[in-house]
Amino acid sequence: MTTTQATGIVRAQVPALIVGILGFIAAIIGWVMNPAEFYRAYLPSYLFWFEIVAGSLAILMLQYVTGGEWGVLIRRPLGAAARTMIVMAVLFIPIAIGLPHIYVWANPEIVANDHLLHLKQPYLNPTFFLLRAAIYFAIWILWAWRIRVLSLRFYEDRAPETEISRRKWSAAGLLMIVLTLTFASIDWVMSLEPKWYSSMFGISFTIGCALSAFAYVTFLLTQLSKTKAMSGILKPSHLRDLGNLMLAFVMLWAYTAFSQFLLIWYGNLKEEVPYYLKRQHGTWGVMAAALVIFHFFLPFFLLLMRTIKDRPNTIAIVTVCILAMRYIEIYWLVGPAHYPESFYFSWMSIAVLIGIAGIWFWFFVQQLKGQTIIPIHETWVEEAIREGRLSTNA
Amino acid sequence: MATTKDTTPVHEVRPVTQELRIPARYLPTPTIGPGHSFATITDHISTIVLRRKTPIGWFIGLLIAMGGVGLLSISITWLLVKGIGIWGINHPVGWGMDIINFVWWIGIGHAGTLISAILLLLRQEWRTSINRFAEAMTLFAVASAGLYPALHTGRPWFDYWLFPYPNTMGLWPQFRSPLMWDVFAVSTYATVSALFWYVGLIPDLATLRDRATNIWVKRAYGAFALGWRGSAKHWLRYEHAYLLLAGLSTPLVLSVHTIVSFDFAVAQIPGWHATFFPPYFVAGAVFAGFAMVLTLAIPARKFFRLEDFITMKHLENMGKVLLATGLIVVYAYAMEWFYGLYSGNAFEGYMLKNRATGPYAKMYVALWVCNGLAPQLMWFKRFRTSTFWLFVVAMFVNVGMWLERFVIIPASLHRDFLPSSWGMYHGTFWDWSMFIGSIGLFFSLLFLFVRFLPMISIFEMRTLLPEAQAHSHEEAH
Repeated sequence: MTTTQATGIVRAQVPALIVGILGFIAAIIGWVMNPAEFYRAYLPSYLFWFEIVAGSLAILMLQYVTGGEWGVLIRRPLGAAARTMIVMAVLFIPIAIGLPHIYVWANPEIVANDHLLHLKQPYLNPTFFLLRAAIYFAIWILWAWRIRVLSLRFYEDRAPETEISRRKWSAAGLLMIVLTLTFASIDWVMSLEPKWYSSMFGISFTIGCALSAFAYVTFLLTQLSKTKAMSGILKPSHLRDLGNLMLAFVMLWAYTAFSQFLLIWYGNLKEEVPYYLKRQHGTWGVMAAALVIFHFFLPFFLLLMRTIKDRPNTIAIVTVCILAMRYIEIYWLVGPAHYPESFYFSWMSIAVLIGIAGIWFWFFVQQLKGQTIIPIHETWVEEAIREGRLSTNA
Repeated sequence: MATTKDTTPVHEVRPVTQELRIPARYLPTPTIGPGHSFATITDHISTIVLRRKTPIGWFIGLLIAMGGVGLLSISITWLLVKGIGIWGINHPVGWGMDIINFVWWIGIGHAGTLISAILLLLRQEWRTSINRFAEAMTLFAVASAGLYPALHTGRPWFDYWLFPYPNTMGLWPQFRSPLMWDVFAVSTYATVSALFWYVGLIPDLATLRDRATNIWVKRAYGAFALGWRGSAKHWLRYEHAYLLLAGLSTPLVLSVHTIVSFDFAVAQIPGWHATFFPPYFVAGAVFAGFAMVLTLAIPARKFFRLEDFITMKHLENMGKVLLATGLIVVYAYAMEWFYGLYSGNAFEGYMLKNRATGPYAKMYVALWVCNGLAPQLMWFKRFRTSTFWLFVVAMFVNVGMWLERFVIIPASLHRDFLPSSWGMYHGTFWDWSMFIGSIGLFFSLLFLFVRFLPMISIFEMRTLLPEAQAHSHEEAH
């Protein structure tokens, strides 16, 4: 059977949980030693995993709206990842507790003495911030759950109406997720530098989420490709489609990141340009250069080549490169807000990264279990749509 | 698991034939009307071009459009005689209707490139019947757009100075200016679009050559068909060339309007300096372009009885693209407000206040109605499948996109940081005559195009027929 069990992914579940718990124990030790450093280290590591989860929800909905063949093999992992949003909501708690350590505007005495921060207080204040975060999570969980229910119903009735209903939810959901991710990125990342703003930020962050999720599921697929459940199913063309989509998102990321940089550099306004000045000197600057090379040029050229896209082993390397660079970018956006003078990287970031990885993965596999790893029951509808026996835009 | 012999098959086995319970409304709408064969398609489309008797409506339409060209010629002549002082631009608004119209036209062109290049690469077969038409529209829109910056320089006979070439004056263009990048972006765009359009026309020109009865007509089409005989080798070369040109055109969809957005966003004026301008402008361009394709396709389809080729499915899909790109544009309008307030910047705040309540407030409200509200009708299938409503919404968007550029350009420039340097802008008679004249030019070219060239790709339409797909099915996967 093409069950998840047959892929052997379940065997990794308990070890992952153990590693995750160990990571969190280390992080808690760090918290006892230096709470401020812990909270600051927590945010980027949390965001790395959050991007994969939020991106998975977005791509899942994109797949249900457009219905391309590219998504059939990744639907189950995407759905499972999207449903772990509940875990991400729980893991957000340390950020909520550590607000004053992470965000300048959460300190009343600083806000009272700063005119601009005072002006921004109606939006940037702890109560409203937490309320907004709660609303975002509620909406994301609602959509992940709703799509799950419709998918299960579709499994039972196999009626085109159910499929259409799922498509409509997904279409509305795409609108929802772009808006919510825009505001989440403003709240969680951009407000780290409360005086700086860039209207491209939300767009860039949303694209980053989608890219993270694509890289993650593609990596997962390559690791499953040799197992019993997937043998003979995963074809080079599937990986090529995913590779092309990753290429598109790598280019979109570069487009938004470069446009934002160029316009701020060119304008050279005192409100805007310090953001980049801080991020281009010392080790921060080395990270910026690494982003240019390894977040754009290297994956761009590698993903142009079919010989690399078609083979699980080679495309896996590209996905790992992209994921590593996602972390670098997040840290490059977050870190200089706390350590503007010189580069600093806490060991606690690693502890939290591993801690969340293990625990999140356990829940991810939990969601993936007990179902077929590819949506077998849906393929006949796909077939019908492809051959024109069924309309896709009813 | 390893100890007992595993008898279950690796994959779940399901019956091959499953009962399809499909209600009628889920049955697909075809991309081509029923009852067509290779011959009827060729006949129907080529007859529009080759028939003896030209419909009187075409002459009337062309005459009106040529009136616009006349007005344009007068306007340009007067401009050359008097200089650009005849326009409404002055301090502080140095960019007025000339630049608004440039951006408006160049944006309209984007739908053609998107349909012909990106939808081709995405294997969207519904593009087939509208691509030729949309590409022609692109060319004519770029031609109309190009007039404005060329004339705005004031001394158009020196326009070649915009190109970097070694010269005895030691004069080089300012490479750090986005206006310079515009020269490269737009001229590349015009060249590639023209090539793409022409290459796609070659097989059809050969069809017209073969079907023409008049010897001179035969020779004329024959010359442009470049000796096309339709051999397998010709087709192979053609397919390669077409795919390569599609690949070349794809980045142009993004680059041209990105650079147009840089013209504004690199400046420091509130209302211009926003980092999300590039994707916002690109989406706006596609939005405007699809509105124009609908504006042209709906009457043309009726007039030339092309309902079998440009079906309701095409129109509905264009309605969906209109909705999607319209939502991106609305996202931008809304975010402008959010960031204006979030920034805590007095000038940003005033810019928004000035838009909503200042002297150009009416245009700003009209902009929201045209681009924000009207396209929301496209959420409903009832409106998406009504040619009347599609046309109405498209007209709203055409106007709305012009207003958008008005709101961005003069409405931001007229009140900047210092109240002592504020002023007002109004288009003069010559601004409007140029604008109406360029619309006339656009439509004249379009009327000539539908009369002398096949407005729908004959050979590509033939590939949509079931008998053509039976053979191509294997290679498609």
